[in-house]
Amino acid sequence: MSDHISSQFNNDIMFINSNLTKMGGICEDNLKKAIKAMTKNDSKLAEQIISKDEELDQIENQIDDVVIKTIALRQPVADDLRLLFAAIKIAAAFERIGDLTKNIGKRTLSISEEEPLKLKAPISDLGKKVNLQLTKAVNSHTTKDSKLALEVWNSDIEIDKIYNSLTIDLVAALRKKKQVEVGSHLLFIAKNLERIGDHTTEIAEMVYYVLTGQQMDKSARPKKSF
Amino acid sequence: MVDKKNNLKFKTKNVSVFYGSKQAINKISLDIEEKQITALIGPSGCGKSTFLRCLNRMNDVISNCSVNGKILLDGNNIYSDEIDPVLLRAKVGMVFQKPNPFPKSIFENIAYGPRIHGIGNNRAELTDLVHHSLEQAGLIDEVKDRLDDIATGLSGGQQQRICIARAIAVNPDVILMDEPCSALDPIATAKIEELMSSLSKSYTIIIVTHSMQQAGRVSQKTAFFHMGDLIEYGETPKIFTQPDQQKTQDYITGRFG
Repeated sequence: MSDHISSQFNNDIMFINSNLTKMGGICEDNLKKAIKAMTKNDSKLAEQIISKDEELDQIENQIDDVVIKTIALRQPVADDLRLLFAAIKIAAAFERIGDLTKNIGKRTLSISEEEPLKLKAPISDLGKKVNLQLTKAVNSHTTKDSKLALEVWNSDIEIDKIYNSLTIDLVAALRKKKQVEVGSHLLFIAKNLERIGDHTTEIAEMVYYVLTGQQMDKSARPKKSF
Repeated sequence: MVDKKNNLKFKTKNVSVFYGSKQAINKISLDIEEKQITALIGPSGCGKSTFLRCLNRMNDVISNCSVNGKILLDGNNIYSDEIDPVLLRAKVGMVFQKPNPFPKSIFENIAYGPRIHGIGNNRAELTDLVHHSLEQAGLIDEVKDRLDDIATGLSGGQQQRICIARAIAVNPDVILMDEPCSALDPIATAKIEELMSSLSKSYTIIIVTHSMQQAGRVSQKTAFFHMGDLIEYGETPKIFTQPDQQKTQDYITGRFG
């Protein structure tokens, strides 16, 4: 997209784009740490994630304020209007991802003293896959790559499949070993990861919309999770 | 002296203007901040242009017009007997709705004001001044090779920037703009708006505009006039997102006009 004649308009658009990228970076980093904290029973790392979530809330508010101001003062049209509309939704998705990641951190604190189940390894694998999807979604926005956004959108089904089989295994293990508390927390952690995958898909949908002007057919999205 | 504490260029107090027995504006008190863009908006006949024209005594030329109240520019009453309106209008320049370059060369359009005010003593100084003014008006690259061409042959947007360069050439503090873009296409308008934004680093700009969108895009402060009264005055983003007055809200949302 070329620059507007108004440099202030350019600055506002740049502010929105760079802060969306910043939110994405924080989400990726937090999720990586959350997975590590869960796997290694690292309560210090889990605490860090919880405190970082506040920053995401603040950036979301800042983005919302600039979007509202820009709509009121500049009457944006076409790709500018699509970006502003999408920015609110993308920022909200990042904020939700932040909440879900924080919840993983909180649950890690509750289970860190418990004997780890060997099921943590597949949850960690799921987490890494989700984070890779998130990285791609963030990159599709920063590099304006609609193909990459489409790829993210189409790949969520893989996460759903892993989550489903993981859930079955977790429930079976719970039944066998009677580790109800730690097992429940792990079930929620897995569900949180699956939900982060959904929000990541939503971000990809919005990036695609900004770049192409086309809404993805949500009813056509392959979706398989419980 | 500029009131440093509040950084105010103009202080106006209870300014009323009458055309004969008809009152055009009613006790307007409005302070204008230095090196900012202030927009005056409101429906036709609300008094915004009348107020603007008080600020460099353009209303003096209307025979039955009388102005009451106080208007202080840098603390000095501009309606006092000691003020020479011609010098005042150099200090407080004006750009009008329709571009109105003189039917002379581009060079002469810019050099005319400095000559009559005794600025630029020789050809070299004058040439520098003309170049500098055109540069500030964002026009130099477009016209530097044809300064001897007649200014009225330029496009509307270029002519308007000539008028801005002409105002700048006499070294003003304030530039008043009365609907400066209403005769221009959107691209020429965007260029003037961007120019205003860069000029506001050096000059105080007050613009009357029918376009609320333009007020939103260019100004830091907006004043809303209605039927001769000042209804609301505040930070532009606030006026356009959460105005205090119902009348302002109704006007900017297009519910009355």
